[in-house]
Amino acid sequence: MKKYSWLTPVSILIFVLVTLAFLSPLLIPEGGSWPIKQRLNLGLDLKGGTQIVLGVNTDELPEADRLDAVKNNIEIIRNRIDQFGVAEPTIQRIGENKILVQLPGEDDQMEAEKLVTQSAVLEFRLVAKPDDAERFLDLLDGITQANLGSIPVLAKLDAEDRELDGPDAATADSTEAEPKSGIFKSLITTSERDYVVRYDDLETMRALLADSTFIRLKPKGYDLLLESVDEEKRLAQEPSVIYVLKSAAEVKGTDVDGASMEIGSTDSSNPQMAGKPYIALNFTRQGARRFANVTGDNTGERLAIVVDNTVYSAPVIQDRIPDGKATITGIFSTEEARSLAILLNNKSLSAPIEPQYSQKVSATLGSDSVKSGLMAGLIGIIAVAIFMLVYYKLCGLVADFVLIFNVGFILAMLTAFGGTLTLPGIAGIILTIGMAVDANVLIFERIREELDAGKTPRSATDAGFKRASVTIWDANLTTLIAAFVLYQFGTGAIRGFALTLTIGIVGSIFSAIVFVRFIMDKTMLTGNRKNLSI
Amino acid sequence: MRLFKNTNVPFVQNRKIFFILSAILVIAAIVGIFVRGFNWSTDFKGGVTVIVNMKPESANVPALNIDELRRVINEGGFTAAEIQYIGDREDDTFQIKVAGSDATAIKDKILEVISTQLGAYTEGRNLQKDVIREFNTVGAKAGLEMRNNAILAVALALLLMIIYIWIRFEFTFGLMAIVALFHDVIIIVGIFSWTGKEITMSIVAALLTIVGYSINDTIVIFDRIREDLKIYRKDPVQVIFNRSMNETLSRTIITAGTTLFTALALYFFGGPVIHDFAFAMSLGIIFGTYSSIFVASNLVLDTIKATHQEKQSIKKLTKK
Repeated sequence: MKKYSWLTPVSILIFVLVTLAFLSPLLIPEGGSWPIKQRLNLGLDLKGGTQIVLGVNTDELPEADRLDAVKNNIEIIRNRIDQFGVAEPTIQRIGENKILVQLPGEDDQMEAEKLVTQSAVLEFRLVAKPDDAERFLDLLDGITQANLGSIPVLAKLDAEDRELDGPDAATADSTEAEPKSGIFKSLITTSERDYVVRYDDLETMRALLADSTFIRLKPKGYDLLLESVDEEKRLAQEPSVIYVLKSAAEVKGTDVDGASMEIGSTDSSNPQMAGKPYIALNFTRQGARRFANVTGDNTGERLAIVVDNTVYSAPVIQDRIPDGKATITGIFSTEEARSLAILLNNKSLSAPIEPQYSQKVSATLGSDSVKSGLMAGLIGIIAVAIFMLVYYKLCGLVADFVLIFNVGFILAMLTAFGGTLTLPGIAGIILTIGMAVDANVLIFERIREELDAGKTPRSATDAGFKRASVTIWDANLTTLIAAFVLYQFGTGAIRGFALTLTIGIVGSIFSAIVFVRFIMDKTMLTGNRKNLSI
Repeated sequence: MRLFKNTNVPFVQNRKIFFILSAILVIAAIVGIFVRGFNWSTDFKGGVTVIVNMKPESANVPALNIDELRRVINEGGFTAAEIQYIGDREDDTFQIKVAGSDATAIKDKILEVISTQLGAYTEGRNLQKDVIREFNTVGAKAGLEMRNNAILAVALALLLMIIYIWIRFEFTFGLMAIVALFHDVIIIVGIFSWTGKEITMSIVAALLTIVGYSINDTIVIFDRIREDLKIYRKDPVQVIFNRSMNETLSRTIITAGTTLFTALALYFFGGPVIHDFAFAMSLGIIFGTYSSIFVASNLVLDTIKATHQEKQSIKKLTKK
C-alpha cells in the first residue's frame, strides 16, 4: 500500500476547506460575520450591471483624427479595466463621439467606475506659505461676500444664517462698523497647521469649489483643493483639510515614467506608510531633474501631491531629492491605490472624456434562458455521474463524490480570483467537468488493464495510477500552458475563459491523482482484498 | 460493464481513407470561408442601439415584461437582439441593441414592430418623441486591437504547445498535434461559414475550448505510443501505433461520449442563447476525437517514415 506522508491528507483538507470557505458566502446571508466577503460575480448577461456613457471631447482635434481619438480612448479604458481585474466589461463606441461602458455587478464597482471616468491628472504643487494663504483667503472672502447674489450656494447659506440669527441680528450686522469675516470664511476653520472644513460643510464646500462664478472670481495664482477622504474618515465624520496651493504645477503626470502600488512594511517609521498601500513613482529623466530642482529650491516648504484636483498628501520637503523617485502616501484602500497606479501607468487619453450618465442595466439574457442553460448543465452533469457509477461501480462513486468538490473548487477559485461567471462560462465549466472526468477514466481504464494482466487490486491500482499520471500530466500541462498564455496576453472574454480553464485543470489533476486515490486506498484497498469494484 | 475490450480496429491500415476524408472536409471548409465569409455578430461588427420607453399611458395596463419585449423584437426580425432594462425598473425603459448600420431605418422598424405588437404601451403617445428616447450606431464590442491581441495570444499559445510536446515527445509529434488542431478548428469554422451561423464572442470561447479538448485527446494517444514503443521494441512501427490507438480506444470513446453528452444536453435543453455555442462544442468534440485518432498519430507515422527518421524518432522518444 502506498505510504502517505502527512502532506496528502493535509492538502486534501486544504482543498476542501478553501472550497467551502469561498463558497459559504453564497449560503450565508449578506452582512454576516464571515471573514470572506468576495462573492462570485455574475456577468452582464446573467445579472446586468452599471452602464456609463462617456462623452469624448474631440472639439480641439482636427476632423480626421477624431474617430481615432475615440477608438484610442476605448482601448485605454479597456486596458484600465482589464488591469483592475473586472472581467468581461462591454465597451463600445456609440454614435460619433461617445463611449458606452457596461460593467458587470452593482456593488463594489465604485473603484471600477472611477477608473473609467477619471483622467488621473497628477500634479505636484507647492502649498502656499501661511501668510500668503491667509491673505488669499481674506481676499477671496471679500470677493465672495460682495458677489453673494451670483453664487447660489453661498447665498442660500447666508439666508439660512440670517434666519437663525433672527431679524434683529441682521440689522445689527449691517450697522456694525468694524469689518467682520464673511460667509465664506465661516466654512473654514483652522487647526494646528492646516485649514479644515467641518464634515457637515463638506458638501457645500464641494459645490462652491465647482461653482463657475466662484471659479471666475477667484484671484489668480492660488487654488483651493480638498484632501482625499477615505471610508474610515467618512464614517467618523471627521473634518477634511483644505489646502491653498500655488496654481502652477511643478512636476506633472507626463514626467512620470512608471507607477506601481506597494505596501509599506509594518515597521516603517513613517506612519503614513506603515502597513499601508502607497504608490511608488519613477520619473522620466526630465521629470527627475525637475523634481530635484523643485525640492532643492523649496526645502522646508510643503509639496502637495494632487490627483484630479484632490490632494493626497502634502509632506514637508526635507531635502533635495535627486534620484527621480517619489511616493504618494495618504491613499487609503488597496483598491484605490491599485487603480491609481493603473491610471498613472497608462498613457493618457487622446481626448478628454466627460461622464454623461451612469445607470443600472439589467441582464442581457432572459431569466428563462438562464434557467434552461442551468437546467441543461445539470442534466449533463447528472447523466455523466450516473454513467460513471454504472460503468465503474464503487470507483465511479468515488469519482462522482470528488467531482462534487471539483465543481465547488472551480466556483470557489473563480470567486477568489474575482472572475465573472457568464452563461458561456457556465457552459465552459460544465465541459471542463466533462474533461475532469477524463482523468478518472484514464486511471480506471488503466487499472482494468492491469487487472486483466493478472495483478492484484492493490498493485493494479498502484500501476494504473502511476502510468495514467504521466498521461494526465502531459495532456493537462499542454492545455495549462495554452491557458496561461491566453490569460497573460488575451483581453476580456478570452481572459475569463483562460481563468476558468486553468482552475478547472488544476482542480481536476488534484482530484484525480490525489483525492480519488486517497479515498480508494483508505476504503477499497484496505486489508488483503481480492476484488476491486471497478 | 465493459465496452470496447481488446479491440483491434485497423486505424493505421485505413489511414489513407481518413486522410482523403479530412482533406475533403478541410478544403470544403476553406472554400466556404473564402466564398461565403463569416456572419460576424454585433460583437465584432457593431450595430444600432435604440432606447425605448414603454410606460403605458393608461394605468390599467400592467408594466411590460422584458421577456415579452424580447419575444416581440425577436419575432419582428431581430433575432440576435440584446435587450436590457436601463435605469430603474419602474422607468420601463429598455435598451435594444441589434445588428445593422442604418440607425434611422432600424429605429423605425423597431417602432413599427412595437406599435403593432405592443400597442397598449404606445397608445396615445408620440412614437418618435416619447417612445424613442435615443437611437445611435454602436461600434463593435471587440475592436480591432482586441482581435489582434486575441490572435497573437492564440498564436503564442500554439507555439508554446509545440515546444512543450517537442520537449516531452519529439518535434514531429508537436507539429502534427497542432496540424490536427488546425484541422478541427478550420472544419468547425467552415461549418459555421456554410450554415451562415453567427460568430459571436462565445463561439470564439467554444473554439478555444475545442483546442484544449483536442490537444488533450491527442496527447493521451501520443503518450500511449511513446510507452508502447518502449515495451514492444521488435514490432514494426505501424503495428505499435495501431495497438496504442486500440488500447486507448475505450478511454477515447468514453471521454468523448460523456463530454459530447453534456454538450448535447446544452444543445437540446440549453435554450436559444447557448444553442450555437453547444453546437460548436459538439462539433468540436466529434472532430477533436476524430482527428486525435485518425489524423494526428497517422500523420506522425507517415512523416517519420517519409523522412526516414523512424529510428532517430523512436530512439529519442524511448529515451524519455
